[in-house]
Amino acid sequence: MLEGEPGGIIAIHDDPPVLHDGLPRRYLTIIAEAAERLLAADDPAAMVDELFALICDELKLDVFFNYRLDGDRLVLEAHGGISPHHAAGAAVVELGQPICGVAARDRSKLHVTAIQSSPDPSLDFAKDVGLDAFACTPLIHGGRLLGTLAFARRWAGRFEADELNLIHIVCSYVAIAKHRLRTEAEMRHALERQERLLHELNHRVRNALQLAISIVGMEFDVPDADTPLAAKRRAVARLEAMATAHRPLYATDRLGQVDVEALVRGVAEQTVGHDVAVLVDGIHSLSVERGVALALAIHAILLGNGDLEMIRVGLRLMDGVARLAVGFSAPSLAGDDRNGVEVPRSIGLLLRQLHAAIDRDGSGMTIHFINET
Amino acid sequence: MGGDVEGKSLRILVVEDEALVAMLIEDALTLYEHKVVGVAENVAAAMVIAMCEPIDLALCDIRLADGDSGEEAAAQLAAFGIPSLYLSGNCPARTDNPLVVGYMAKPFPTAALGRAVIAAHAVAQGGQPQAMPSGMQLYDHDCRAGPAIGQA
Repeated sequence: MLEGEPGGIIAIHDDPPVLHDGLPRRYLTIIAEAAERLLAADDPAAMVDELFALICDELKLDVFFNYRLDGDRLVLEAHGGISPHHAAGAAVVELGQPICGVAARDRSKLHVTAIQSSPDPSLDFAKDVGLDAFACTPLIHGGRLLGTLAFARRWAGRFEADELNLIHIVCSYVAIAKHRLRTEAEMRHALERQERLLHELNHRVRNALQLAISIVGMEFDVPDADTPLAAKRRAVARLEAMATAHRPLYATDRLGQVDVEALVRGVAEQTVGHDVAVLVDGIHSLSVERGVALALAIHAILLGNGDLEMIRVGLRLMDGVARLAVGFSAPSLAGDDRNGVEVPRSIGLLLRQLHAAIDRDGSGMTIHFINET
Repeated sequence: MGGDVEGKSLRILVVEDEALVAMLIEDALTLYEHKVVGVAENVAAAMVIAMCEPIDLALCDIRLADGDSGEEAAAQLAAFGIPSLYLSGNCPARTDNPLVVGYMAKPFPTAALGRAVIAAHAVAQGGQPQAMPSGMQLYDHDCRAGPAIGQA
């Protein structure tokens, strides 16, 4: 940076820019008009277009570049007075890359003079655009860098001090307006997200209630000889199994996904009434709908099988396809049905929802299915 | 057994991905002497059944398995001339599909299902339902004579 030299890049330290008495009256009019427009603006790019239209005649400006900070680089958000070819060439600027990237990185106002006669190769792009004077201001609000706004001339090699002062004042207003628009957009986004969550919650509550009705209604399929108390106990146990599926709902990073290990452990222990060893190979999750179906199926399978010794959860390769397998080691579940097991209607429907199959071997029973979530 | 209020036995397709909810619907409709010709968990399964079975009415959940939409199922069933009634926790407030008669929001009263399908079928045939259960709403399609009926 060549501070104070007649040509080249000059850093200006006038923070904050001030409205001093010596500013021409027409500048004050422009500042007032700019403030009014920026207060009413609702589009960050159009806002700068309008601002340029407002000040370009007074300041005899030919070109402007407005960059938005995007991660660790600047993205051209609005521009004027340059060809599409040059706009494409200036579309992205890394922090530290002349000229706007330097202003952004150093958070420093830059005044570049006599570009056309400068031997500095870092000004080649500006020279190619035909610029001779360039004033770039970092847009900062509350200590946060938002981007840069630069104005340039082809016809003269510099800006006067009052002109720079006007530019810096207007840019400080632009920073405030952009901060406001960004804050409004973030609030809108948050409200939309909240609305989506509320909609999702509404859906889940309604669905859960409907399912609860179905679960209690399953008692209609039980033979008449059963006692009402036993029926109530079964209904409550099924509802608890459903609730267990909802309990680990937020244990995974993905919203709406149920952690399979927590689900299996919770339902098994609740159903058999004692601690159960669960061996898990890998981390697996299910959508809440499939999680509920798995929970109810496990509950139905384990009901009355207190000899459960261990559960294994992991992927099993079958016919070249990986299936999530939940295996129950329990002598009472053992058998020799490797091609499927006859199950009651309700379990059959749950297995169908999961696209699952059950088989049995000498150590117990396994539910397996393709986990598409 | 209940028997339906207007003495009609309808052939119903249930498009629902929750197995136990589908079972509840099927049992309730059977109790009211309707026939459930099939339960489909997604659009493709619904269309397979629609191509094999005559269907008087489809009951469509909105969120289906595999990310499918009940609205899409209803649209494809409409191409076969099959009317639908939405049965969902998030029923759309309006529809452009003239063969979607109306909706019942979940959780719905099971005992009302028998009357709901009769009412929906009557409306789909261009008539007016004699009785419409609480919780059932009809869509206000331009092509239908008369205003939309709210809760009866």
